[in-house]
Order: sequence, then structure tokens, then C-alpha cells
Amino acid sequence: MLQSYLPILIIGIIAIAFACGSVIVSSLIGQKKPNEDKLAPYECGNVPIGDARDRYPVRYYIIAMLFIIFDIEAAFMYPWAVLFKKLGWFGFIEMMVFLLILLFGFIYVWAKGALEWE
Amino acid sequence: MIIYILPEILTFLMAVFFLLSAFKKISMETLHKTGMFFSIINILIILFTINLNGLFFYGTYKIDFFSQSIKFILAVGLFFIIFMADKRIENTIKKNYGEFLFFLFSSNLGMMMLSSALEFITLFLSLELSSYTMFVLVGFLKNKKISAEAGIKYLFIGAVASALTLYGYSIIFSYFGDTSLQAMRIGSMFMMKDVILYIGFIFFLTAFFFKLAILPFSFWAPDVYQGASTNVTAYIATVSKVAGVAVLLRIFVYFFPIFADQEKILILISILTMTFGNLVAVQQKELKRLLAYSSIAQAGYMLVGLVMFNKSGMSSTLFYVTAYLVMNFTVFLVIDQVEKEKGSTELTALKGLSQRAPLLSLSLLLALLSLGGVPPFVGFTGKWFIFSSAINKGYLTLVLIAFLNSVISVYYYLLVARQAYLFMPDEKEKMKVTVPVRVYSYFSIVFIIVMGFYPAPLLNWAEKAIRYLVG
Repeated sequence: MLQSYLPILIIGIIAIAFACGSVIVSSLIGQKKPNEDKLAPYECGNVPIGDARDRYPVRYYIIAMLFIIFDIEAAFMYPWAVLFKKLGWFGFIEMMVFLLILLFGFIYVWAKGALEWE
Repeated sequence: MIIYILPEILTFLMAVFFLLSAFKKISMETLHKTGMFFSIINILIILFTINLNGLFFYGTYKIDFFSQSIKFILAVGLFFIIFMADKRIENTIKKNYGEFLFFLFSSNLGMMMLSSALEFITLFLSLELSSYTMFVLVGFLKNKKISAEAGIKYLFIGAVASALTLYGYSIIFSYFGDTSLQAMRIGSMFMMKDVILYIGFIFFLTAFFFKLAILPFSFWAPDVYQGASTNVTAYIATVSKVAGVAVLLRIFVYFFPIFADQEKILILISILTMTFGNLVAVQQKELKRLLAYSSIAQAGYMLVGLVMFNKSGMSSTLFYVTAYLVMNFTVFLVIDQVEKEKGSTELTALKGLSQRAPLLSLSLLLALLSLGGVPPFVGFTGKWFIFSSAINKGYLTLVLIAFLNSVISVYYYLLVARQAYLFMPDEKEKMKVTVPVRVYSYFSIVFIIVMGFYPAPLLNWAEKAIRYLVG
């Protein structure tokens, strides 16, 4: 019964083996001659300045969080759109309730200033 | 049909009201009064619907006496928590009181739906609703490192617990093909005692054991209880336990055929929980951590009643968790009042409380003795019912270990009471105790003593609720 999934298993094993294998083999066979320039972090040719562990502005996380939520909301609207005629008034009102709940959240986010970039 | 789900609709609307109230600069006092008024309306509406019976939303949502009485207890707990806040509350909560009440009401809504859910997706959604809002409530004090750390710990451990529950449920679903708990009850009667199904059930219980702080999943409790603001800790310790016991009652009723054989592992878990909670609590010097370990141990006692799988065990657990709500809330109220005065929740902050606030320390003493299981208080009566249902099924060793654990717990509860009664305070003047706190202290003293001598009303209610649950 599960034989039809066998190609997926083989592809998975080959992918993992290739990725892990190339890293492992290169670390086993390759030369190890580290010097300071080779070990410095890559900055597109420029000399790196300062520490890499800076504090990130938190608004990136906020935008990412909000994106996930509203993107999933949009993704839920696709199946509803496909069966729109068949679901009739009941489906419409139910979807509007869903959108209304998320609208309350959106109003809150907007009024609290989480959408400001500066 | 609206009448049946009126409590949930009202709680949702109230939560949205508090969310949208965050825009106008409404003072904390107005919001506080509105919050108390709304929670009283909630209690009254639930009392109005308490005898209704019905099955809604294609058999996924059951309204019966059991679910409505759990909702009543949850609403009463919410009222207690809201009334516990006053002007001297933490600054972050005071400035964002609208959002704070929004999260409290949403968490309560999630727990209400949890007590009525008859189907896995509804159960999981309500569990997550109540959990996510509590994650935020724990980490509410943004400026204190200990609160943010407690919130992150609670979030990660809770997320992993939910993930394990989903994994266990996916195994169960692959056997029965239908997400309702009823299908599991019917299907499990015909199923062979399959090891994989059994492993699925054990994983499935993870999130519910996490919520109740039962042993392998209880390590979040001390840090979270200590880091959260004291009224949030009171909410987690009392109301969340009621919801956790309610949902475990429903699950155990529906999974009865499979679990009846394999209750030994649950008994082992409850013994480990009790012992761990009691032994580690002995060493604690900070009040909220001590109460966290004590609540782990109390969850062990409640689990003893649950795994008996008969009506007497389940009704005794329901009796105990209701009494536990009042007792534990009394202790947290006293800790909260002391913290507002002195700013610290160490054991020594309670020094000399009997000279400065005799009513508060009397209610503290009675609540602690009752938690330890000293007669004639309600904690003793509750433990008596649980352990007698265990003895009736023949588990003598279990009850012996539970007795030993009760004795150990009396030691650390009395450590707390000793600070209040046997030391002289640093300040001489009496502590300011507001009238609502006084009224609540009288209520709790009366409840603890009267229900200890005359548990019949509460026990009859618990038995009636379990009859509706099972029947």
C-alpha cells in the first residue's frame, strides 16, 4: 500500500546523503590551513567592522508576525472563494464573521502604532 | 439557540470591548469597575443557563449541567482575580489595563469552551486560546527580566506540549477516522489493545498534564509562578487548574475502555508528582515558588481521584478542585496584599503579619492548614473523599504514599504560617486592608470551615455534575 511513496523516500535519502556527505567528505579530505584572513566573516570584500551581534530593531519581528497572521487569513479565503456559490449565504456570513474578528485585531494593531516604520 | 451559548458570546463581546477600549485614555479605575461589573453579569448569565441541556454545532459542543457549572466556577474565579487588583498594582498592568482585562476575558472564554468541547478540534482550539492568552499574561510586565523570562519559558514549554498532543492525536485519528471523542469511545471498545494506540493516548494527554502541572510536564511551574505578577499567578494556580481538571474529566470519561486496563502508569505519574512537589517545596524560601511546588503536589492528589475512573473518584476530584480554588486564592490574596505593602514575596515578608493584619493572617492560616489536609477544614474533607474512593478500588499503597505526602506538605505550609504568627513585625502600625479584601477573607474563612464540617452541598453538586457528564 505504501509502495507508491517509495520514490519520495529514495529522493529524501539521496538529498540528505548528498548534503551531509559533501560537507563531511570535504571536512575529512580537505586541507586544514586556517589563517586570520580566511577565518574572518565575509562582508562582500569589505573589511568587517565591529561585532556581528548587534541588537536588531524589534519592528522587523512585528512586521513578520503580522504578515504571518494576515497571510494565513488570505490563505483561508482561497478555499472559500472556490466554493463561494455552493456555500451560499451561510458561508458568506460565516466568512464575514471570521474577517470581522481579524478586523478587530487589525484595528488594534493600527491604532497602537505597530504599523509605523519609524 | 443563542440562549444556550450566551455566556460565551457575552464573554467574547466583553473581551472585544476591553480590546477596543485601549484607544481612549480610560483610567484604570473605570476599567476596573467595568471589569468587575462585566464579570458579575457573566456569573449571573451562567447561573441563568445552568440547567440547560443541548448539543450544538453538529455534535461538537455540549451544554449540560457539568459544563455550565464549570463555567460558573471559572466566572467566579475571574471575578476574584479582577477584584484582587487595586490602585497599587504594577505600573505596566495599570497603564495597559484594558489589554490586561482583554487577555483575562479571552483566557476565560477559552476555558469555558474547553469545558463544553466534545470533539478534538474544538478542544484543541479552546486549549490554545486559553494557553496563548496566558503566555501573554505571564510576560505582561515587560520591564522586569524575571517576568519576560517566565513568559518565554511558559511559551516554549507550552508550545512543545501542544505539539506533542497533536502528534498523539494524529496517531489516535489514524485509528478511528473521526475527530469526535464519541467516536474514540465507541472505536476503542472494538480496538485491540494496540501498543501504538496506547502511545498515542499518552502523547495526547501531554498538553492537559502540562496545564495541570503534572510531573513530567510541570517544570515550568516554579519559574512561571514566580515571574508573573501575583494576580496572574493566582489566575494560573486556581482557574486554570479547574479548567484542566474539567477537560481531563471529559477525556477520561470518553477514553474509559482503553485506560481502565492501563491506569497503573497514571497512578505512577500521580505518585511521582505528589512526591516531587512536596519534597522540593520544603526547601523554598520564596512564597510564589513554594506555592508553585505545592500546586504541583496538589495536582498529584487530584490525579489520584481522576484515575479511579468511577463516579465517586471523579466527583471527589471536582469537589477538591473547587475547594482548592478558594483556598489557593486566599493564600495568593494575602501574598498580593503583602507584596503591595513591602514589595517582596520572600517568606520573611510575612513576618509578624498576625500583629499587623489579624484577619488576613487568620484566613491565611486556615487556608494553609486546609491545603495541608488538616481536619476539620475543607481540604481534609476533599482529600478524604479522594482517598476513600482510591481505597474502595483497592489501592492501599497509593493512599499510604499520599498520606505521607500530606504530612510533608503540612510542614512547609506551617513554615509560611509560622512567619505570620511566631515573629514580631518590623513595623508596628496596622496594615491597611480594604473592604473588599475583608469581605473576601470572611467569605473564605466561613467557606473553609463550613464546607469542612458540612460538605454535603458541594459534594452533592459535584456528584450531580458528574452524573450529567457521564450520563
